[in-house]
Amino acid sequence: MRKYTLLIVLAAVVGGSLLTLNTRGTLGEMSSRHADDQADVVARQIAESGQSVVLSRMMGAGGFVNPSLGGPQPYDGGTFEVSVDALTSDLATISVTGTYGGAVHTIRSTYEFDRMNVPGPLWLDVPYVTASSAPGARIVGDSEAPNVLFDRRKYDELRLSTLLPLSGLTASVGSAMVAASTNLDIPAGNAWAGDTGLMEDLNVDDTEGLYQAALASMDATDTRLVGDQTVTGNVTWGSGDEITLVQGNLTIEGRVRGEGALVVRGDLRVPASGRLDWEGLVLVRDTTAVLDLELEGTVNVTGALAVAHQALPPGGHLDVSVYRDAGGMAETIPQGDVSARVMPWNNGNPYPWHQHTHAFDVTPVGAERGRHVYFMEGSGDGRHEWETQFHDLVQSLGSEAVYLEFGNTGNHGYARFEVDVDGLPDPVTGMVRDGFGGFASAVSPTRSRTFPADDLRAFDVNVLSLRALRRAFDTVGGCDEWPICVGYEWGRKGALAFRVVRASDNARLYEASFYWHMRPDEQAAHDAEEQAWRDAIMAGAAFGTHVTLGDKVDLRLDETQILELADKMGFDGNEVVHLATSAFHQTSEETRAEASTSRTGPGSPPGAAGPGGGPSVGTGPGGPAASGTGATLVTLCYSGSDIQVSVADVATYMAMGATSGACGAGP
Amino acid sequence: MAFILDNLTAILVGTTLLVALLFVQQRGQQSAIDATTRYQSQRMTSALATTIERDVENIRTKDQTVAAFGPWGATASAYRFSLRRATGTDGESYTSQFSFPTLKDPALGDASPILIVTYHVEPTGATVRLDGVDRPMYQVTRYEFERGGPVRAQGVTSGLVDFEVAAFADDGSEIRSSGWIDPTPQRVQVELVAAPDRPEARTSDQAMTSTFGTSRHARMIRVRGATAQGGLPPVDTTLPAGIPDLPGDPAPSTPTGGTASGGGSTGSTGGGSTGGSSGPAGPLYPTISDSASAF
Repeated sequence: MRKYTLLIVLAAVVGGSLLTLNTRGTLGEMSSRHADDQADVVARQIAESGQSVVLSRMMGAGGFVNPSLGGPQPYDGGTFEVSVDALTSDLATISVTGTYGGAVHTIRSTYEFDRMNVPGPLWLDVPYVTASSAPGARIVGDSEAPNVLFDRRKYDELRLSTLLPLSGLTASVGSAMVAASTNLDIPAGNAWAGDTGLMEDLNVDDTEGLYQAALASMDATDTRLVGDQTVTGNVTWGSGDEITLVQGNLTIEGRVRGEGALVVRGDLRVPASGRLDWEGLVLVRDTTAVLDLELEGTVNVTGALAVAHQALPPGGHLDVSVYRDAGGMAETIPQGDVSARVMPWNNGNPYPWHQHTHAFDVTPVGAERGRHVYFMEGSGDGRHEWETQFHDLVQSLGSEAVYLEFGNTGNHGYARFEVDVDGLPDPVTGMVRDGFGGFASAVSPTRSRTFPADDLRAFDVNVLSLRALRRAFDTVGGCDEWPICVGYEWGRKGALAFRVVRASDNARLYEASFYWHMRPDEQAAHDAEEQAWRDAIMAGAAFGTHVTLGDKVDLRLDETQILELADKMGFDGNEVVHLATSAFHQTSEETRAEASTSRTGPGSPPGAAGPGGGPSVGTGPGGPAASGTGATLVTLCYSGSDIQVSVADVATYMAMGATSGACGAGP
Repeated sequence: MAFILDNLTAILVGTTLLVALLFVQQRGQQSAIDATTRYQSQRMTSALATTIERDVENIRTKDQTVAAFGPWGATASAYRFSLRRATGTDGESYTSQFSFPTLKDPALGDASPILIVTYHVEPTGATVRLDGVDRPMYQVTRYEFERGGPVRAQGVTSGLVDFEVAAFADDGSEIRSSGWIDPTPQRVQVELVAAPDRPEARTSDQAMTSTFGTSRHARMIRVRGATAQGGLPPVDTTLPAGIPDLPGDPAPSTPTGGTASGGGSTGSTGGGSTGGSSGPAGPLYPTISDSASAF
């Protein structure tokens, strides 16, 4: 009996051992595979983390610097190593190799350092300018922006060449700038705006845009000085990125020191007794016929000086057209549901809008509306409900999920908006061209977050510049009646648009278009006004900008001072441009295979394809051969023949097309 | 006889033990096959995923692709990054084609030429029963096209029951539907589902208790070069430009010059044109029942 018991126990031990060995072998391979996969993932993550570390270390104030990390850096159980393949202050190619558990991942990237540029130490965005300079004045640029610039776009747009020849401007300003140890440049009109323009890093198209950006970015920490200011004592305005706005002429008879942006809405005069020391941007902007920039005292500006003279002839007005369809507008019917047009358009004529207000800003004459359009106020009708027909639609939508959207923001009119929705701690304000800011959706900055329509409490749009809207004069631009053309086109002919869109299907429910319009019958009056304006200039009426530079003027371009304002005023700042990236990965398995060069086998294992290669399946594995390692053998069908292979090699053969079991046995 | 009778008990016990050991051995073998097939299935999908990952993480931008191949297609500069979907016999849709430009040799970095890589998914005709539903099985073929061609099939992986690719734009929006994707997506998710082969024989209790699930492998891959604004590749301008059509392209393309002759193990035919002349516009890949060609 003891012998039988012993036999049974031995048999159980042998059987159990066999099962355990099989199970452990399989589990071991599974575990190894899992570890390999994990190593691949972690190596990638380490390389990416290392790249972030390197990017932050190589950013110097004036360009790229060597990240100087030395050898392998331990990171999260692995290491990363940095290789500087090429490095100048402007261009860097860096490889970061992450290693973990045998897996190796290399990211090789090339970056360009794009410094923030401003047009020059002084630039003049004015219709016309004359200048005089004492010999001691100094205007100093840098290698990329050495000269004083005249923005000729207003000069061209107003056709001033027939009144004030450019040669006169060049002679006057050119000689003054030579006296100030610099030169005058007059770039082509198309050199200023756009992605490659002189104003690109300032994210505006012209100096008026810079002025509007400064106003829009002002907050409670900034200083507003109302009316004309004459400084007789010593004052300090602003620090860091603060903006100081003088809402009138500024005369400095004493001393003004400051940092940040000094914005003067009028003339700037520093008589011989005065002194201005400013680090940052000085922006002088005026809308009257004459702008004086008289710098006869001590003036030290380290940063830049910009002049915007909006001395423009009258003409045109704001039109607001409204399109509605509670069921959703369609591209094929861009005018929306016109069946319920309101007065005065419900007279049977097929006008393509729900409501339209010609010359919104100037009619009715007795109570001009201005260019500030109130759509909703205090959860009720806005003061322009009749013209906008907005609250009426919002009420009909109930709790329908909607979002707001601005369209054609290239013709933004420097418009600002304010929106208030239940749940927002404060109303959101901003410039239309910049979108909804903190209330924007992730999809687009010009699209708001989604909310129930009846949560909307207030919305208004304040257009600040007609000239920055879509110009829609009936006599030009290929359209005889612009309101009709805008109504019949889904794209609104490029006119700035404000929309309410249904979130479920992105259908437009409401749209208002803003554009700078003039009818043919108004053109004659406009022409007469402009001619009178021209005649006055021709007759010698004072017009234009005059710059006077005393011998104690020292104006130095320093972009680092402008850089201080980058965050606040939305400048690009110094940027890193990503030129190229490639990645190279070596799995743990490949690393082991590389290390054990003596190992032989039945062909390339699956997954061992080289970088950029395809799956190895079917790409020329070695011939079938039973490995015969003494382990458990398994029968497989390969190429029509039964073969027996070890468990360890089953995967390889099945990857090569073998099937489990003997040939001919059905599944 | 007397010996047998004397040792009958021992013989019976020994025989029983032998049978038991054989049973254990068979079970062990079948279990090993079962585990191994699962393992190899995972390994196969992992290998395919790794290859796709290598390709995707080196996806090139439109500018880089145009520099490598010249303007392409009916819309001249359409970016050759596309997804296509089809519906299988079980009514489930899957990504039937995934095509994009990538580096030929990532180890060379920007010095590497650019390939158009296409993962083409087609049913094998076989089915596998999963959760009581017959699921069609698919195979994935990887094609490469270099400037001047031909299109080359670089390998086939079979045994899949699903192949899903989703591209994510920088705003987080997800694209799975058929169409061209431009600009270059920031992330790409690839999901492979494989059904392991069944062992050919098993014990009765194993047949009753064993279940054959699927092996799923998913990876979210960051396209780190998606935002690149430079890095133009070396181009052999002596080779004709152009990119061949793919199944389901919206219209016969008129490549702006170039030849793309067919090739590869699939017996596909050539397409494209030379020097701007109109050439055969047929697909260079095997035609499949791609139900989602309208976009």
